[in-house]
Amino acid sequence: MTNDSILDPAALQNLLTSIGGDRAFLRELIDTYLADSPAQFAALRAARTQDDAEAFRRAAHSLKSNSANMGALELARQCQELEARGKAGILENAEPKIIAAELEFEKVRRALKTE
Amino acid sequence: MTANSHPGNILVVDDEQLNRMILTRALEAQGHRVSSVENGLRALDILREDPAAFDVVLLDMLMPELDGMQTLAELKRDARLKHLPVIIVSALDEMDSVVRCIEMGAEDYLPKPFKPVLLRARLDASLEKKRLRDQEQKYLRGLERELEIGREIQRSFLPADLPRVAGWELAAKFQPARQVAGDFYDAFEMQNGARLAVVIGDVADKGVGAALFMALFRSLLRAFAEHSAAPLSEVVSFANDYIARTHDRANMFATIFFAALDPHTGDLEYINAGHNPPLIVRDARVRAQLTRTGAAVGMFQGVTFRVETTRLERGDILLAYTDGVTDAPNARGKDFSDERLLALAQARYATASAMLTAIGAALHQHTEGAEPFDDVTMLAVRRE
Repeated sequence: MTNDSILDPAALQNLLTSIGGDRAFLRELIDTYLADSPAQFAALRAARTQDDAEAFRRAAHSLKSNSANMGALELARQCQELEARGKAGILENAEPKIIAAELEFEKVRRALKTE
Repeated sequence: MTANSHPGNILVVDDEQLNRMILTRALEAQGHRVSSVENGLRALDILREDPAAFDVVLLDMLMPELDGMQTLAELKRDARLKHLPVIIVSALDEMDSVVRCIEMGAEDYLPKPFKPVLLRARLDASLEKKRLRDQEQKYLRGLERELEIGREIQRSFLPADLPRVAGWELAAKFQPARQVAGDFYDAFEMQNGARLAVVIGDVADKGVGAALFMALFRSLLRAFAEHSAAPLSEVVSFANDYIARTHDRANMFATIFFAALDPHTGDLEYINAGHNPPLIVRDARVRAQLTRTGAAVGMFQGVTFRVETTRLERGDILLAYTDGVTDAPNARGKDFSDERLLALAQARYATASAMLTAIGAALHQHTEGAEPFDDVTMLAVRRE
């Protein structure tokens, strides 16, 4: 997998343009994203264990929304699937999807470190 | 990004810290002033504290506590906040919710992650709309204030108290359909107390134009009648010719009933210039209808007005009214009608005032739930 399929350069450029081209602020946003996301994954797992579909949906939604902002479009797509499961209230067999998303997040983390 | 020529005060409502950070910075980069809160409850608190503090709300959909749709519903329920433009910020896979929100009155939506150009376009459109609405409101408030002043002044053109004449009772009822009216009534002594003038009139058309002419008609009739010993026909002709000559281009006219009563004998001279015929009621029977003796006042210069005479006996009630009474529609559009008024007039009333109260109550019941249609004016004179 190339770096571009993990992080969409156009999406990141769009974010940079949105914030008035402020690279230091972009770094701050990336750091916030990287610091917050593990807690969201933990919330996702906890919700899965407790079979709390609404909490599951919220955590997946947050991850989807934030990942899309950072240009992590593949991760956002995977989180959207998780969100849909939460919305439908079907958390069985979600485990492999969660693991896949966590693996994708690791790739995103490495890619963002170099940004 | 260039500075914005019309910066606004924007409230960002989003539970994601990252979204708040990005939106705040992006809006500031476009020249706006931004506050952000993390859920709908906080948003409602801050907005209700000062409803004029913000120009636009950017509202996220999925939030804990109070979500976007619930927040929007609350805003639309609040009279002070329902006109505040709300832009829904939402992922494209939430389009169903977005459509619901637009139906509920959201101004627009912004897909996220958002494009700066779209953010600017949607925000500028909403701000522009807000500005126009604010201007309109300010203008309307000014207009309402002016109309209120007009109404107060116009009230002063109607007699504050009706004259007290021994052996006679006078009563009046007046209800304008709008803030200013075209109806008027008057009662005053003329010929040094030898005669009592009783006048009711209805200026064609409604609103401010009619109100201005109402003041003119009333003043012309009264000024001339009070200070001359001229016969009734001359008084009405004077007003007629003045209006037809001086204001011919306005095409304004009034139907007027003008009576001069001799309080000692009960003799009544009158001119009915195109007005609904006043009734004379005796022993709960309509004894006479004082039908028209000339054209409406102000239409044609030089027309003459025939004077008729009658007499009010003890216990008689003269009831004059404008067509706002008989033509008043109910909620289904049916008129109050001449027949209804005649039926109500043909009951036994101890006083003129009791008659007007009874008719007024029936009219109120009839028109309940319908829009005020026309000015309602009644004037009654009873010989005791």
